[in-house]
This record gives sequence, C-alpha cells and structure tokens, in this order.
Amino acid sequence: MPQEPSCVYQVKWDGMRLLAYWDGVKLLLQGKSLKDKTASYPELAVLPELVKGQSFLLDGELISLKGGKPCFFTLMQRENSSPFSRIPVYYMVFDLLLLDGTWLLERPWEARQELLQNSLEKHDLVSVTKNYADGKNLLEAVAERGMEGVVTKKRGTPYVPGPRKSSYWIKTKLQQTLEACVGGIYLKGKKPISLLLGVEENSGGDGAGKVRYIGSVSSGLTETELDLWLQWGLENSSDYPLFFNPPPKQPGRNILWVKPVRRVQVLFSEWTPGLKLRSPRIKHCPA
Amino acid sequence: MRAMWKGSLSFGLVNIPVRLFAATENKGLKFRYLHLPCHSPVEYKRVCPVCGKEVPWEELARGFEYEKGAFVILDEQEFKAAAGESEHLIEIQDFVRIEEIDPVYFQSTYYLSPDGTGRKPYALLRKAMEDTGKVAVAGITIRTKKTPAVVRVYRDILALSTMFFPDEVRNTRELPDIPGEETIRDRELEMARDLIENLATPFVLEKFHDTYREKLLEIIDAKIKGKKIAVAPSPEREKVVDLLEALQASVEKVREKKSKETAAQEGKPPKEKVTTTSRR
Repeated sequence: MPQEPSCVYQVKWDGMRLLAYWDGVKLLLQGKSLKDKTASYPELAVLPELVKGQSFLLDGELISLKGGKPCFFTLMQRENSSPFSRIPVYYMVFDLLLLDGTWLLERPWEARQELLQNSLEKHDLVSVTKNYADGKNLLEAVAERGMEGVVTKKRGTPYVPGPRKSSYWIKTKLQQTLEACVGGIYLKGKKPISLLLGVEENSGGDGAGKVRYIGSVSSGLTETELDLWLQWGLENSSDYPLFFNPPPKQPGRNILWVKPVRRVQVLFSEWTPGLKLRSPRIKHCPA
Repeated sequence: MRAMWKGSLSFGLVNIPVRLFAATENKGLKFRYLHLPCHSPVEYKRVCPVCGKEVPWEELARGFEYEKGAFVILDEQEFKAAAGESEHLIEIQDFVRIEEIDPVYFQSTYYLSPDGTGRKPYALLRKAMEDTGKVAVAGITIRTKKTPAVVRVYRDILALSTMFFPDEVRNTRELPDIPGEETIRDRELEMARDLIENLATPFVLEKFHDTYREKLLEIIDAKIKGKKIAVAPSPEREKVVDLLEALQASVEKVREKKSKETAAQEGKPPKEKVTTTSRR
C-alpha cells in the first residue's frame, strides 16, 4: 500500500462496480463491460431525487451485507434472483464524473470529491464513500472487521475511464475467511486429493435453503488430514450430491459425496464471477 | 434440456449408451408462503416436538411406522442393501403391442437420446421398432427403485415411460355402485351411438389450455403494474449505516491503540492526533 502525503484511502467495497447515469429523463445503471443493470435494481430509481443536478454520472460500488460486512456472494444471489427479492443493496458512491452537463473527468480528484460531497443527499441506500488520511489505520480496521481491503487514491489526478488499470487508484486486498461445509471428497483412485466445499443459500434468494458448490480445496490440508476426512466421509457418504450445482465429472477423478454436516474455515482471495472461491486454503479444520 | 439419467439401453447383444430427458414439465405457478405482516417467505425447519429443538442433519434418521407410534429405524447401509446394484441399465426384456398396455399403467415419460457411440444402434432399434410396430418392455433403475418401463418410438425419437407395478393399480372391483348388464333398449342405444359418431373428430389437444394459470397470471400482472416498487425489508435487517458506524469505531480503536503505543515509547501522555480526512 503506497504511503505518500498525496494519498487518500478508502474502503474497498466487496461488491459490483456500478455507474449511474441520469440525463434528466432516464436513469441508466451500468455494470462492468457496460452491462445494463437498470431493471435489476429498481430501488436505485431514487438517485435523481438525491443529486442536486439536472444530469449526472456517478461511479461507485453496489454491495449487499451479510454478517455485518459487504458480501459479494449475497450480492450475486440478489443479482440472480428477481428485483423484488428480499436482499437489499446499497450503493457506495466514490466519484462524480458529470454534473449538470459538465464533464469532470479532467478535474483533480479532490475537486470531484468536493462536488460529490456537496451534491449528493443522504439516503438509506446511497452513501458517499468516506476518505481516510491514514491508510495503515484503515487497513488494520478493515482487517479487524474481516472486510476485503483498501483502495489508495492520489490527490490531484484525473479520472481514468475504461477498463485499463490506472496507477492513480491502487487496490490492497486482504485475505478473506468463510465458513463452508464439506459436501464431497475428490478421489484419485482411492486416494483423497481435495474437499468439495459448499455454502447454504438461505437469505431469500431463489436458491434458498439449498447448498451451493463453491469450489474444491486441498491447500492447507496434510495427507494425514485428508485420509481422516476420507475415513469420516465413508461413514457419512451420500448416494447423490447434495449440491444443487454439482461440478461436472473430471476424467481420472471420482467424487465421494458426503452429507454436508461438517464445517471448515476457509481463507480465500476473492469470489470468481461464477461464484467459486479463488485460491482457497483451509484455515482451521476440526478433523 | 438437462439429462436426468445416464446409462445404457441393452438390446440383445447391443448396448446403446443413452441419456434420459424429462418429456413433460409442470407449468403450474409456484407460490411461496409469506408472513403477512412483513411479507417474508417463511422458513421450514425440522423441529423435534419433544425436545423442542431444531434437528441437525446428523441426528436425522429414517423410520418406518409399523404400528402407531412404533418405528423400525433403517440406516443408509440397509437402504443400500435393499436397492442392490444401481446399474445404469435399461434392460429390454420383451417386445409387445402397445394396445396390450392400458394407459392406467403409465407413470412418467422421458425422451432418450443416444450418447457417444450410440447413434447407429439407436437408429437401428428405432427403425426396427417402427417396422414391426412393437414396443419394448424393460426394467430401469432410477435412484434406488427398479421399475418396469416401456420404450417406444415417439415421433422421430425413442421415448421411455415408467410404469406402475401391477399391485400399485387399484382393483376396479373395490369400486361401489357399478351397474351390471342392465336391459338397454335398442332405440336408446342407437341414439347414443349416433351421437358419438357425430362428435367423433381427430384428436387435437391444443384446444385445451390452462385457464386457471392464465387467470392467475392476469391477476399477478395487474398487481405488479399497479404497485409502486418498494424495497422490501431485509430478513437480517442489516443496514449499511450500522456497518459504517462499526467501521468508524474500528478505525478509532486502531488509532487510539497506536497513539498510546507511541506515547508509551516516548514516555509522554497520549496526545489527541488530528487526522486530515479530506472532508467528512
């Protein structure tokens, strides 16, 4: 994480990047690769009432909460269910690119911030992301709360549009933890090689109450531990997968399905768009 | 379409690898039960009425009630033993004429599609069955139960219909008030026959449609259109303001801890540090 006097620090929200464009008549919500998300989040139709301006373009992150912190997984459950679903979303705004017909891309960061702070009214669902001067403190606080990380932004810099990474905004990511259940064991011949992990979906999405397969993990497990898992698995096996989205068969590998009754702590870097864990590692395994 | 079963169809010495797809789908609308005051979908929990506790999966067993309140418990091994080998096989035993089978025996129908190397023998069996006008009687094991089934040509594919076991179809003799041979006048019978002949047409199912579902959809559409879109309350009641406050508390805690550490190192009392957050 860069440490310069010109740097400002913000929480990295674990959600979905979202642009909100109001041309005075119609609101357009765009996700990554400019996908139209307007119909998916009807509650953000309140935005034009909150911004003092005839037109605007906001940049921010859409998040859902679970266990007192943003949860990408919960947001994806909302994304995959109907707009009337019970999963609330919050829009954490961090930049203003257009106001009253004037483009602000070339203005320095602090000028855009000032306009943003002055023109966005407070609302339950919409907040302006707070800026912190001490990045180390923020990172420690974010880690304590088990959140995703910190973004460092440089004062005096313009907004860089498009998908390419700019050196003005730098992400610092923390490892994340998750409690998952074990729903299967991958076998190569008779040798256990990894555990298949799942989470229960129970917060009002369409998959409510079912177990979703979220990836397999071997890292962090010793051979002895894997053997113990296999022993347990043979006593608690199931004839069919209890995941509603079991992984496709892989050549040379068999799966011993087990009842998803035992839980493990998993460290991982982030969720993939397909809702699998990226670089998972077993943290604590009560074998 | 997603295959719901994979295996092979054995016909004489030939094994045809096939996949099964559900032939029919239920289009009934799905309604969920809500708690009326807050509109939250209710949760179903397995609760023990005696212990009053929610029952975890590992404490769940399957019991057969052989007399009121008395159970024999079977474990997974015993279920497995009863099921036998779950061969993924549709074993053709005989060929019969379809008219010999009453529709009352048919349960659910699946479409068969050849898998991998099965295309040629699939086409062969289809042609042979078409030519002879016969259908195949076979056994198939789905999940744990081996049931009788019929494999036949439907349009240009092979279809499989699972069937009830003979003792699953109730005996008609148990039905009350069925008339025997009553005396029927020729004149009446002739009139009834004429009526039938007049109403006889080719079979067209398309004139039937689900008016109940259509009516329900109309009502639902009208309700959605008339409704102002409101954000439903969260079942967890998690709010972003709570998160922001908690985060702020954490930041302050970290800051205090650090300034105490610095003060201890320098032997001075902790000093209030002014952080320069840029606005707000």
